[in-house]
Amino acid sequence: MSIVNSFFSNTTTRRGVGAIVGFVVIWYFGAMVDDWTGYDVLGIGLVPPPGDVFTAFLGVIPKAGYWMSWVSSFSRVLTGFLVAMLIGIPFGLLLAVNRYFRGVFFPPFEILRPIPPLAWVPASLIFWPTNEMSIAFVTFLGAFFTIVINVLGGARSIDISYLRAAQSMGASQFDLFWKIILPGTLPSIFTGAAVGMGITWEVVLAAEMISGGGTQGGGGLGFFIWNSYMGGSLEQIVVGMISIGIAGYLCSSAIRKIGFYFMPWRRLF
Amino acid sequence: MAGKSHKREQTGALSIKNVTKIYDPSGVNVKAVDDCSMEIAAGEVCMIVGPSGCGKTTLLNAIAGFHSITEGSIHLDGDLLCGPGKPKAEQSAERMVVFQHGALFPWKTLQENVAYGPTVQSAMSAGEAMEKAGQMLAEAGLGQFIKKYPGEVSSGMARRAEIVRALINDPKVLLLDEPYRAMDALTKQIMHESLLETYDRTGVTIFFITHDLEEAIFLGDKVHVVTTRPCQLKKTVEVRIPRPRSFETQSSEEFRTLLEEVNEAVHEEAVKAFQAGEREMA
Repeated sequence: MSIVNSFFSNTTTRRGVGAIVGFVVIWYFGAMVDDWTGYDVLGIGLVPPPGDVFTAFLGVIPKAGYWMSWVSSFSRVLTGFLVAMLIGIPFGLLLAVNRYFRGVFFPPFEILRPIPPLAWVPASLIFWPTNEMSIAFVTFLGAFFTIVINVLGGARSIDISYLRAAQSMGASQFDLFWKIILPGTLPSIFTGAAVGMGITWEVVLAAEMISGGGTQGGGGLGFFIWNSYMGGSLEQIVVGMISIGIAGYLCSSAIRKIGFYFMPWRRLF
Repeated sequence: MAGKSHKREQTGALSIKNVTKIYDPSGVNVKAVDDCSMEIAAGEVCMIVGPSGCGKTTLLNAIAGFHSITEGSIHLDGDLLCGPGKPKAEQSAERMVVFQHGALFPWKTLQENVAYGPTVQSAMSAGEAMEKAGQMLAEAGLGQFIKKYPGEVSSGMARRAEIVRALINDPKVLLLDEPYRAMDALTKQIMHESLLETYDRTGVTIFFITHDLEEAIFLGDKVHVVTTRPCQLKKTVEVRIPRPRSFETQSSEEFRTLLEEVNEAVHEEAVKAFQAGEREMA
């Protein structure tokens, strides 16, 4: 009881829960309005009411295939995202601190960057030996460019006074990089990570729908939605959509938590 | 300056001789400093006053080693910092800068900020540096705030901590570039008292750039009025008000007379700067 009490004593939590409940109520009225009045309002009468979706949700929960979709989408997102971070952060920092590196790599980067990740789907399906690899590759691209641009921008906009102060106090190039440039860029790294994570979810879903996402239940949430569409189950489509919403929310909260851990000075904001 | 007795009265003499700085961005020569000379004795508080954009900061940057000079030379205690054959001084902890907008590292606590210098210089172990930093911050009245991040304290406290961060490196010269510019009059007053107290304790040479004439006279041993761009020494006013000074000093007859004298010299330059600005706009 005390847990419930403390949960609801937090104003932010109370507002958040209230807003979600309010949204579901509006959804319910929107979905039922054609049943009650006989008029189809702007097509929203086709939307399944929350109750039906909830029933469909209960229906898929015991099914292994549904959870396999979670696992495969998550592992694709995480693979692409982590590789993008591992390559993107050093790449962005190098672009920022070394002008020869920037001279060579920035122009091709800027030409490739505007190409939407989804435009890479057909080519990567052909070039990569497996579907799995091509989806991971496209996911990687989705996060990579955003992360690099944020890291580059963040590192370049570090106040020159910090660098001068550190140098005057005797910091070596090594110190400057690890103690000034890196922590100074961290906020931008996490902004890039948060935005990049959002893009990886967009991309993975679309890639799964296009590629069919492989076989034996490993299709991912994107394929789950596509499959529900082919099977004509409107409720399951919405179940898939909400699942993605929850998955995305989990990912961005994780990034926020990690950001808090690495940037204690930002907790005050 | 009678009655002063600090350990370092003999070091920190700056000699600026015929310094000229020409910026040459995209082929358009801009003369920021023109044949500027001044002598700053060891342990002196030297205030530089002049119109905005006149090249004061250029001079400070040359002393700190952030920028090169075109002609002339700057010596510290007789050693060449920059001059013929060596356009740019190396950056060094003997000349510490306190920046206009503040440059405490936001990702370090006040204590970690202050401990940074001795740590990277390997002058102390990390533990010793932290201990010394805590001590010095406490002396500056920031004992309760050593574990706070710069974003959590007021701008006045942050600036005080920044001066402590400079002083822990035992600099010969403290270079201050309008450090109290954005502060309200009351905070400024407290800052001044704290700086004077620090100065009386350490006797470090202070090179202080400001727009604020009362600040200049209240803090300084000498006030150097410089001309509008290009920067040249126009007039030096000696402030013989004895130390320690308190805020009552500012209502004394002597203070008012000095203020008028400085004001007259600065006003002329301000008018010139304003007219030059109008010409540039036209």
